[in-house]
Amino acid sequence: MSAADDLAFLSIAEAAPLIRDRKLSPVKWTEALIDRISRYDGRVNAFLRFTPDIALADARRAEAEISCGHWRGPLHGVPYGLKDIIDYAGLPTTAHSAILKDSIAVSDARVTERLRAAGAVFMGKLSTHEFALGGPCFDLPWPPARNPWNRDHFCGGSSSGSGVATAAGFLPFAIGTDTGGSVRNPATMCGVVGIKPTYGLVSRRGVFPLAYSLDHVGPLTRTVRDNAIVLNMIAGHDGGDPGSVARPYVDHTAQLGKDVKGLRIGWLRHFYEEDIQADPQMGAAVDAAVATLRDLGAQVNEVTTVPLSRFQACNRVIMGSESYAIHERWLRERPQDYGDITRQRLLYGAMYSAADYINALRLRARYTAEFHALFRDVDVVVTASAHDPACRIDDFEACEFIYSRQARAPFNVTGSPAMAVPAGFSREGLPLGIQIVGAPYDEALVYRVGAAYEAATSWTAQRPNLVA
Amino acid sequence: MASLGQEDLLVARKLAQRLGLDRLSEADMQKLLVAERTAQMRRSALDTSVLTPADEPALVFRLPGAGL
Repeated sequence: MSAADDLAFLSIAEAAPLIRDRKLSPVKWTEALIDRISRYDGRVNAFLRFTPDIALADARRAEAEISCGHWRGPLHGVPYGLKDIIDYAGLPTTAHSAILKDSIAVSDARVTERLRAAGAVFMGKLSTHEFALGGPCFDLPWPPARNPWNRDHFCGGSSSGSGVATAAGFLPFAIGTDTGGSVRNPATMCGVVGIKPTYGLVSRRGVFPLAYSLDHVGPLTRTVRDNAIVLNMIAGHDGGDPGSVARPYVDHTAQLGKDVKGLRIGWLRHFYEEDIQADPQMGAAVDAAVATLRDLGAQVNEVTTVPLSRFQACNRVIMGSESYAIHERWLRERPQDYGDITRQRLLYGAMYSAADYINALRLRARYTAEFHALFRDVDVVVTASAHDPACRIDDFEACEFIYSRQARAPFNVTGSPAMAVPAGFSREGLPLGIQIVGAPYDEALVYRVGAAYEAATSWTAQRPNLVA
Repeated sequence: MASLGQEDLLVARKLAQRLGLDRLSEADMQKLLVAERTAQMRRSALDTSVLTPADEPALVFRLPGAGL
C-alpha cells in the first residue's frame, strides 16, 4: 500500500487529530485526493462536477486557521462531496438532469452551511439517479456512476456518486439523500456505511425534493465511527425546513466502543426470508451478521411486523403522488428532457387518486405505530438492506428487478433511523450488507451496534482496485 | 419492449390526453400503460380494509406554535 493510498483511505477519525495537531496538512490530503480523482474518476463517474479549485481554497483556509490555533472540530480540513440535488451556492444543482443543467443555486442548503461552518473541504457535486428517482440512465447529459468493485456493475442509487466516491477512496465522506433507500442502497452495493437518520433530524432545506414526507438527508462513510462524526455536524433544528425537529444535542459517537452484551436485538427475518426472498448469498450474509451479534453477547429474538409488500406499496404510493405533484408541469411541457427510466417512474404518480394518497398516509400512521411498538421489547432491529448483490449496469431488466427487492423503504415510511453496514462479499466479489434500525432519535445506539459488528469483522477495511 | 396494438395505443392516447400529458411521444404510450398497471398493483397492495374512519393520515395540518 502506497502513501498515496494511505491518504486516499484515511478515515475522518484517524485524520482529525492529525490535522488538529498539525501532523497532517489538509492541503496535502486534498491534493492527494484530487490526484486520485483525476486519475480514476473517468472509470467510475462518481463526480458530475469536480471542483479542485474550491477544494484547494477550502483546504488552504483550513490549514491557515489551524496553524493559528483555530481548529473548528473533526471535519475541519476534511474533504467531502454532495449529491447533486443538494445546493452549493454559485454552482448548478442539476439533479443529474437536462432539465436543471443550468440551474445555479443562489444559496447553500442547510447541510452545506453546516459543513462550511465545520471547515470541511468541498470537492464537488456527485452523480445521482435523475431527480433521485431514475435508475442508471444512459440517455442523460452525464453517464451513470459505476460500481468500484466491478465497473460493469450497478453501484446502487440514487445517491450513486456518494457511494462510489466514498468506496473508491476519493472522499472520506459524502452526503446523500434517501426517500425509499437511496443512501442505504449505494452504501450496500458499494460496501460502505450509510445512514438514513430519523425523519426531521437533518434539514432538507436546499435539497431538491423527491417526496416531501419521505425525504431524508444522510452521510455515507467508510466506517461507522466516521458516519457518527458527520451526523453530529449536520444534525440540528432548522426553522427553514417544516419537517425539522427541535431536539437536545446528542453526541452520536457517545456509545461507540461499548459492547452489545445484553442488548436486545430484534431479528426481522420475514422481510428477506418470506415476504421477498433474498438472493441466497445476501440472506446468508444477514443471517451470519445476526449470529456474530449473538456471539458478541446480544440477545437476539425474532420479531415480526407489517409485511414488506404492504410497506413498499405505502412508500411507493406516497412517493409517486408527491413526486408527480413536483414534476407534473415539466412532464406536461418537456417530457422528453427526462431520461427514459425517470419518465417511466414519474408516470406512476399520475395514476394515483387523492384517495390513494390519503389512504397510504392513513396506513403509514398505523404501520409506524405498529413498527415502533417493537421497541418496547427490543433495542434495535436487524434485517436486510438490499435483497441482491449489484446486477450488471447495462442489464435494464435486472436493474428493474432488484429495484423493488429491498427492505429499506419501510423505514422511510416509519421515519426510523436505519443504517446500512457492509457484511461481506458475494462469490463474484460484490459487496453484501445488513441494515440496523433503531427507535426514533436513537441513532447513537444504532451506531453502537454497527460499530461492534464492524469491529468483529473486517468488511469495512476492504478496498476496491481501481487500477486494474 | 414490444410495440402497442392499435387498441392499446388509442387507450393510452386518451389517458395521456386526460392527464394533460399531450407531449409524450408514441414510445411513451407504452410507459403510460405500464404505469397504469404498476399503480394498480401498488394500489391493491394498500390494505385499506384495516382502516376505519377514525384512522387519520400520518400528516395532518398543524398551526404554527401548536403543541408548544
